[in-house]
Amino acid sequence: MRQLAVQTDSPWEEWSLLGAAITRVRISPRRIYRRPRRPAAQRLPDEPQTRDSVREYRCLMQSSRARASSQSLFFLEALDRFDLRFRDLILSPRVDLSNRHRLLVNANAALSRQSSQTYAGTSPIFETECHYWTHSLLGIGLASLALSKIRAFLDSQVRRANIIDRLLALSTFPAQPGRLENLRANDVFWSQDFLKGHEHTPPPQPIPESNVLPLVTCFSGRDGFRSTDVSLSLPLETISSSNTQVWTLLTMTHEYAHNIIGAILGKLLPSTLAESEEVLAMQKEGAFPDLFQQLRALLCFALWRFSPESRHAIQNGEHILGLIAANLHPASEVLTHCFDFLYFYEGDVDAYIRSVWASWGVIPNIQRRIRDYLLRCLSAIHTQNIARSPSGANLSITQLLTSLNAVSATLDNSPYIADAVNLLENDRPQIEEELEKRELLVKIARYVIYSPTVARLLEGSATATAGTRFAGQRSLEFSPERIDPPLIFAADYSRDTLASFARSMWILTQIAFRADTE
Amino acid sequence: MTQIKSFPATGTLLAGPVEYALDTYRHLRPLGNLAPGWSAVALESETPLHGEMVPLGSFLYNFLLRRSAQPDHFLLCGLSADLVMTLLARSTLLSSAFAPQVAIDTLVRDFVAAPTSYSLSAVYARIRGFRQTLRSMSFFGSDIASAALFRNHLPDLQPYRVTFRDLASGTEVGSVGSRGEVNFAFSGPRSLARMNDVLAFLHAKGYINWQRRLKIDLAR
Repeated sequence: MRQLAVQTDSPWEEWSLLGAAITRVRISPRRIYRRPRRPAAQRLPDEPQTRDSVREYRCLMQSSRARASSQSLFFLEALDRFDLRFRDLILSPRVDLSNRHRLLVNANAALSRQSSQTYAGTSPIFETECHYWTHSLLGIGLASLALSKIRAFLDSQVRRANIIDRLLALSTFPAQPGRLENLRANDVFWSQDFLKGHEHTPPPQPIPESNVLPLVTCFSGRDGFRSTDVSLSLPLETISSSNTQVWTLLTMTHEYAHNIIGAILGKLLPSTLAESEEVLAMQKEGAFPDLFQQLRALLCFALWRFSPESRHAIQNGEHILGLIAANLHPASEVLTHCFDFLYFYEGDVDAYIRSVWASWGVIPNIQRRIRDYLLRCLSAIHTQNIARSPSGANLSITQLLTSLNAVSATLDNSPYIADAVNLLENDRPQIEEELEKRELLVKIARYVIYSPTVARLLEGSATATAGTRFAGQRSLEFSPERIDPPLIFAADYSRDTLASFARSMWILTQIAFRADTE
Repeated sequence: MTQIKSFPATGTLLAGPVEYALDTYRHLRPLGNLAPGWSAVALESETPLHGEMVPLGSFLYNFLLRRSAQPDHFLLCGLSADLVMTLLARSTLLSSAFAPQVAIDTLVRDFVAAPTSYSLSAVYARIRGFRQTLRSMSFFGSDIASAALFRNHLPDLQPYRVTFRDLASGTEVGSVGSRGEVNFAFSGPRSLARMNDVLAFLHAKGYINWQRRLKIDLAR
């Protein structure tokens, strides 16, 4: 065995046993991956309020790097890029002290989980531990690697699409006369591909890998499916049950979409008083210097329309900033659902509804949030009906009802769907009214953020074609073929009703070692 | 209500003395009503008409007949275009009835400009222009009229057949051609009701032109 390990350049550990006692441990010489000298990173802040978090971050980063340097060049490179971009992020003038502290805490939590989960069970085994206690000896490094590979794949797709530069290029387009909120959804203005760019100028270049902060991925029983500005977590159940619709790895796309929408909103929304005063002045005049500014004003108007205080006029720039702060989270949820539905699920209503309600079905005590979840789903579906007459909203509700009924018949565990159907049937006029409040956000998602050009570039992340791509590969067999793209592979093999540890680990192993990340 | 087996129905809209011709054709056996406006008839034949390999015996072929609110306007569907043409020929309808023109080209352009509660899941089109080396294109999808690729090609296309998808139920209803051809999967009263709705939609929007009297030719 040792000879085989040496021949294949695999790290090994040899235990001599006397009965049940380990009498001697021999380990292979440690392999060290070396990286080219890193560009000079910014110094971490030295301020009393964040000092402890900064210290912890330094330790965690160094410990993670040290472990990665003997185990995985893939993780080592990702950590170096993370460190560089993370320092830039927390020292950005747009990040205040409390947000800096929040980012540090999130980064530390994710790094600590990732490090303990990935390297538990690596040699020397006795010196590692895993916080996931049922795996405290040999760890879940393989699952952690699979998760990180999917993150890297999504990163590469999004870097290639470069949505942000495409959005910023709208400042070179003339504004449309009048106010966009008054334009009907089937106006020819909305039929253009806003993110396509100018006909005769080259398209934006892909974002260099070094410019992107790679989210630290980990598993978390407490956080479940969750993303922050610096991390992305999946529930622990994914490890043993990723072969099921409920715990499918596909749900990652939703969490990932949150970060894309966060970046878009970060560029499009005004962030200073001066910018918001400008928006107010433009709205009053009905004149806009360019299309980007016009869309910024439309987004602010959409947030106001969506807010509970939309009956009162906007008073000043400070009021706009207040509205943004108060409504950013729910509005971002609406846009994220629309983005996920349009790009990753390619507008497939049944696949999307099955996926989101299956994953919500395992969250305890969300009865009070059902109305909100329904409206997010409705907003996503409404992206396809917004221009339809006579009543696109009515059609969206009917489609959601049809889909929920169909999903409820196929899902074993769907405790909230019956409540959702009741709510839709009994409170239809009110739901329709609330959907109308989100209509401008839906319009922005459908006509501005969704672009056929970008969809082509994100093609490998779209899962609607699942079911055909890997048809020749049999489950539980290890094929040497590359897995491209990994998300469709995950979609193909996560259709089971019953969880199977073997099938789940097979999916994760294949992705960990066979997935293409480009 | 009568029950007959499901089958993929192919046929045509037509105008003419249909009821009289079918009532007087002695090889037709009425099977009863299937749904409001719809009835079924069976054609008896001594010889196989659908390529059956059994040489002897008598053969029965089911047809669906839909009466329009307008007298003399019908939809006749069978298991294949050949069978419908045979029935029309044997019952003398081929010479006395005609098919209307359906403005599929206009319909597709209207769907692009203002989507409705139906989407188009298939569009068949000829390429405009003389001596084109590429003569026709077919598109398949969930909502073709909203696809940028299709919209970009539309100025060069002359759509002649479309398939309707009902968005509320998410089901494909059937297809209609510019010479009144109709195809749908008959699977009971529900499928007939859905097809009724499509025909009512086409009628309400003025896409069916009964003034243009076209020769029935399903074998084209």
